[in-house]
Amino acid sequence: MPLSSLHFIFIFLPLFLLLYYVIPKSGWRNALLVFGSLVFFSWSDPGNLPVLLFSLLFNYIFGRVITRQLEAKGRPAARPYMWIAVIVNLLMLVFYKYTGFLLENLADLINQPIKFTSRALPLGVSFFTFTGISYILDLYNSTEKAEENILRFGSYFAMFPKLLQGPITRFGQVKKELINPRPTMDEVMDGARRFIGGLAKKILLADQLGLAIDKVFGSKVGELGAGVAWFALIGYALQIYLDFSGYTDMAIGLGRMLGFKLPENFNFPYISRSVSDFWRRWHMSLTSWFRTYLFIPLEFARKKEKFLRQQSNLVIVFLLTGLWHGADWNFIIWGTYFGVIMAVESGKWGKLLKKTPLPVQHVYSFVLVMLGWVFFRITDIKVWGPFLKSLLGFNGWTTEFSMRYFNVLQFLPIIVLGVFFSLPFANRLEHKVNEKGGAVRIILDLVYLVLFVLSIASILANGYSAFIYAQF
Amino acid sequence: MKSMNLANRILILFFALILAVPVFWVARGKVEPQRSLMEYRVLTVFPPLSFTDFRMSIKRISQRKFEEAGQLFFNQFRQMKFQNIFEKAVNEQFPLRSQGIRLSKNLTRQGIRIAYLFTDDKIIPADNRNNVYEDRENTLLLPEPEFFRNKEQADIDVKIDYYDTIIKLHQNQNFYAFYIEVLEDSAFNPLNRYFINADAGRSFSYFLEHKPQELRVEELLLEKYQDQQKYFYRTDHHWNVHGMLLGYEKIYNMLRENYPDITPMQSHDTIYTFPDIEFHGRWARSVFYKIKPGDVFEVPLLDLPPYKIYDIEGNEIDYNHKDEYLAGNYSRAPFADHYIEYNGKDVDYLEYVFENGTDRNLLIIGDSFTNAIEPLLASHYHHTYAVDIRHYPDYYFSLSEFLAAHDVDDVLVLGGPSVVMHQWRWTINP
Repeated sequence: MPLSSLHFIFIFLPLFLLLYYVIPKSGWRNALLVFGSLVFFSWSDPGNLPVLLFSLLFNYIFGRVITRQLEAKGRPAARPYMWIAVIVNLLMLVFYKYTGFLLENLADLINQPIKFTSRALPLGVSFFTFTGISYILDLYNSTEKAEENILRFGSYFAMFPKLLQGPITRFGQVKKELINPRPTMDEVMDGARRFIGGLAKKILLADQLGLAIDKVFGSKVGELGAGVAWFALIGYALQIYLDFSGYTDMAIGLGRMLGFKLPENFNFPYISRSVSDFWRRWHMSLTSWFRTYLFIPLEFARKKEKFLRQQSNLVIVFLLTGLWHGADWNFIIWGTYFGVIMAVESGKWGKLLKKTPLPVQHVYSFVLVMLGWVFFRITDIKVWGPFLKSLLGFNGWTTEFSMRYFNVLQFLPIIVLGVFFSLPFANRLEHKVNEKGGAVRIILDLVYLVLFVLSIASILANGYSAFIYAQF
Repeated sequence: MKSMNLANRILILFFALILAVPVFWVARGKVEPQRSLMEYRVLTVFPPLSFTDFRMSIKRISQRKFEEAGQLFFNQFRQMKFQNIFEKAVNEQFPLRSQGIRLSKNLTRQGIRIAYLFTDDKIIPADNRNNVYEDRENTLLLPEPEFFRNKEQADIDVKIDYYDTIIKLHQNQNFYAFYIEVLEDSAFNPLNRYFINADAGRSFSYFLEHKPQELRVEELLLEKYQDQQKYFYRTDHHWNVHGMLLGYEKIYNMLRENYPDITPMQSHDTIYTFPDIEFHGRWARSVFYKIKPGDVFEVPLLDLPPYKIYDIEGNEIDYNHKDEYLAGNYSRAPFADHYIEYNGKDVDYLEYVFENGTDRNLLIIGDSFTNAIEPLLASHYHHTYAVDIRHYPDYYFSLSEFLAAHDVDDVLVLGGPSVVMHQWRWTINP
């Protein structure tokens, strides 16, 4: 059930919140949260409900076993269970997400057709399997203790705001709130503000931009003038940010309304001063996951190796980050591309970069990130060359024909607004308003209400589009 | 703190709003499917759920008859049928839906105007989703140009081959085509210069050059941009009364070449203007844009001989709403499609029977443009069969089969580019 759909906003959400706020006991609230999350999931993907349920129960049981083994016999005894749990979680992800890709490439390699019936990818499988792995590894590392109460664990694992697209939440980040999830009035209202802000970002900006961007990328991108090509690339960079951060805002807002503080996922990535800085600000919960559960263990495991250890670890981590986004070569190359850059930045170049003037750092980061989006957006690798040629002006600057054909001009106000909301201005403004309070705060809340009405009007007029990250 | 509380109180409106909508649906109860005048379709209503079916399916589960249980109740969810209809109904039954859509479209339009504020462009997009533009100077809406590329040329070639075959196969009939050039295909679409492969009248020139000689073709061409306003509505793709009457005259003269004793042309000097109709046609509807002023809705007052209309089953029908309109009974809804309501909806087949002393019969293969002119043309024939291939199952229409079942002297293909020159949905199988 997409968070920006009318049936979510006007049926699921009010009914759920009504019951959630009325129920006095925390246990019952957790039960409602589990039940509601399963309804939320199965509304859009009923066929894969057993997959989610299996994953939930499996991680719950193995979590308890691991903690028990740790307490009774120590880490060596718990290790096999940890490995089984991690491997089963990974196998589930591989089976649903990568089997087709692997067999397709194997068939190419052996030059023999391989029969394969593809299965529908369970919604949010990349997110809930990573949640499961993080839970298991946190238990194994004794960072957390297993949750004994299955309703609390179910609430954590399947919590509907974060189930389909994150933020990938570690158990420790919400465990206290799971005991008695009861938001204060201020939290509920803050949550509503965040939810509305995210909805407006998604509907009024990202979806509008998507109209133009899809049209440009759907055309012969190798024949574009540089102007339109750059418009499409910058537009896409804004669209994917506004779309995904919009979702995250909605998820965090919903979490707040339910009494949970979900982790942040974005910190204005387009103001980054290097690629490494970008990845500290973009999809932070995923980066943090890979850092905690892959990069640090890799560093630890290879601590005796001196030559390019950190660099090669970074490439491995980002290759897998790319692969996580999708079973396609373009994602693998996209991830590897960032891995290589970060490996380079981890050396002398990174230190040198820090000494350059700030605008140089911003431009450097911006250009490399934009180039990354080319690999991300265009799945057909053969088209990269022609599109890059377009970007570099091989087809000339933009003709009046192409500017008008794609109606670039009409999307400029959206681009301007998109840039504004991708930079910290609006956030700073809101902080100031919050500090000041009084009439300005009331005006801002009225603005939120207007944004909500406009977003709903836009959904009525245009329907809703799926969130970009829902496909990953 | 007090002000914070007040701010919170303001935001309670958000919760009141999201709760008010389901309360509205529950309070309203069950509704019958309603036709949307703006969208010209029946709006989806919430799908019913039977508690009895649910109970019975639970019983089947307890009897381990899972397949039956699924068929009775659960499959609709498993196969997403229920969800899909439900989601559509949520949108289409939403309170104040049309106001919401209008608000959103207006906002988009204002955004576009701001974007074009510093240009001297007279023609700007009217929306960001539909390829409809507005001419700010002439207060009219216009479509994007159609293309003429190898693909379109190949399609025309196929159509020409079909014409060739049917003409050779059916030598007892006279074949005519009347081409109505719309702005999309015209050389005078002011947007042509922005679209490298714009048709700009090239497809029709190509068609004329390659068509079989035996196919007699007449046309209503735009000779300048202003002709669009003269012969067509400013908010709709159809021809207006002036375009239609000019078409009638041209077609009449063409038919007369092989039909010398055709009855005299119908007098059409009197044109009636509906005083309280401001017509906002398809383009206006698709972008929810009531340009001011809307189109004048005019109709010819004709004195036709008595006639009857039959449907494909042979039942006599009341096809159009001309009498109701002239009696003042018509919709005052802002985007009502008066052209279709007055002239009649598109249907697969109509048969006009005029008792006018002639025994000559006509087959018209056409589209919605035809609806306005059919009675005029039919008044010169005994039987006139009007066929709209789009509404045949799988768009399949066989001329041989039709001619075997109906006595036809003249075959007239009448309409815009798609009907006359293209294959898609308008294939006239030999």
